[in-house]
Amino acid sequence: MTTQTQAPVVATNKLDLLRLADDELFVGHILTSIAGFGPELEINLALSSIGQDELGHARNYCTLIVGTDRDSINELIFGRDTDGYRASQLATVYTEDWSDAVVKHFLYDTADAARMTALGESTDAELAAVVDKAKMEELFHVDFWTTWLAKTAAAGPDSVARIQSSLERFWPMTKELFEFEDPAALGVEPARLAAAYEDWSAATIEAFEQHGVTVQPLGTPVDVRQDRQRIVDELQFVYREAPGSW
Amino acid sequence: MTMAAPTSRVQEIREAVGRVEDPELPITIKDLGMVRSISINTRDSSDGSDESSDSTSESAGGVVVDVALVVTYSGCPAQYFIERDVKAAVADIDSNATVNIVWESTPWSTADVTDAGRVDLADVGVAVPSPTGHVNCPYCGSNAIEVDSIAGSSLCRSLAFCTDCRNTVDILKAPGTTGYARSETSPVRLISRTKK
Repeated sequence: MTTQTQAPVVATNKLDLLRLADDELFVGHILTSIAGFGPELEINLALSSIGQDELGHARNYCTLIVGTDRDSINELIFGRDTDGYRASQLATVYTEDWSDAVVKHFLYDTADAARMTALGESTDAELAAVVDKAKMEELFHVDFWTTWLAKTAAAGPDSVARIQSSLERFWPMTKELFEFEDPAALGVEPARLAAAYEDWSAATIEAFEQHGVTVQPLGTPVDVRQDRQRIVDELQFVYREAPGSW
Repeated sequence: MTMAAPTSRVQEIREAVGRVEDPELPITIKDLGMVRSISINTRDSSDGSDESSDSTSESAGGVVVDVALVVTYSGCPAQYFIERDVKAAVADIDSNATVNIVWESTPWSTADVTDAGRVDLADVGVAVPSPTGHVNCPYCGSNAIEVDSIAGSSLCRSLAFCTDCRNTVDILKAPGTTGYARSETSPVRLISRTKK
């Protein structure tokens, strides 16, 4: 539904940056929303810390699109119609259970780290600098989800079956994380991203096999439109309730 | 024509920016290593161009203060509060000054914390890891630190416990940290209970 649209128009050659920003925005929003539902206090601290990191990365990508002005960034983040958000399908999955959360974020954060390695080599020096700072922060994310994938899988056959089920739904969404409209606009060779995907995919299949989980061939992704609407509704609630007063 | 630079005013502005505190820790942003540069110029009222650095003129278009800062973590929620506080600190000295703040995307690390900052943080139970990642208890100096959680009460802190003096300890966390090494060094006592 269209109500108010104040978001700045994003140039075509910046749409891939917006994709990166929206991926981090959605992942950060969901993690900070589910913080409190984790099985231990320390996990909840990690969920909110990791989520905050991702929101920070989203803000940094936004500065490459609309500059550093706080109001412009807010309008870009909160002022769009639902269809204007360009987050990947995997980033959009609103995880409601622990197995889904672990599998989604293991896939997302390892893939994000892999594509950041490619983006850090960008000929766009500003993008490379933003990615370099984010890459440091991703080290903890990857470490955390790798640990919890192993701990969850080690809990027994029921856990492994749950991980298998989560993976079957999420795996088909992973390739999209490495696909961009115009890699040249990001200062990266398409072949570099394709190679990053191949390397990541092989390493990930091996990681799951070590836990007794089999990766199926890429199938049809599940529909995430309802999740996208839920995220946008939650994100924009305050922005729409109290426009201009925050 | 510009008048001789009132050096005292330049110094005052520098010190005021240096005194701004981090909203989440009782330490100045300067001691936390967030201030990368401060440049104070005068703007000629006729064409708006900058004069040479560190010169001010009371008769010209006004003082322009350029501050380059770096956030500890990309997601730092204090970023805009720090921006506001830096502007207010300059305005306290010169209400006509123009303040431009640039957030650099260069990395911040715990090595950027000054020695004075390390003491300020130890005073409130926050340990700053050594350059090799080793941690000593800010209360008793012991190396018997057990890390409970890398993610702590804020993005820049980890949760730990000293099994010697049995105090809860925060560790100032550097981006990229996935663990801490137990310190091999003899007890280090950073705390300065002499303050206040």
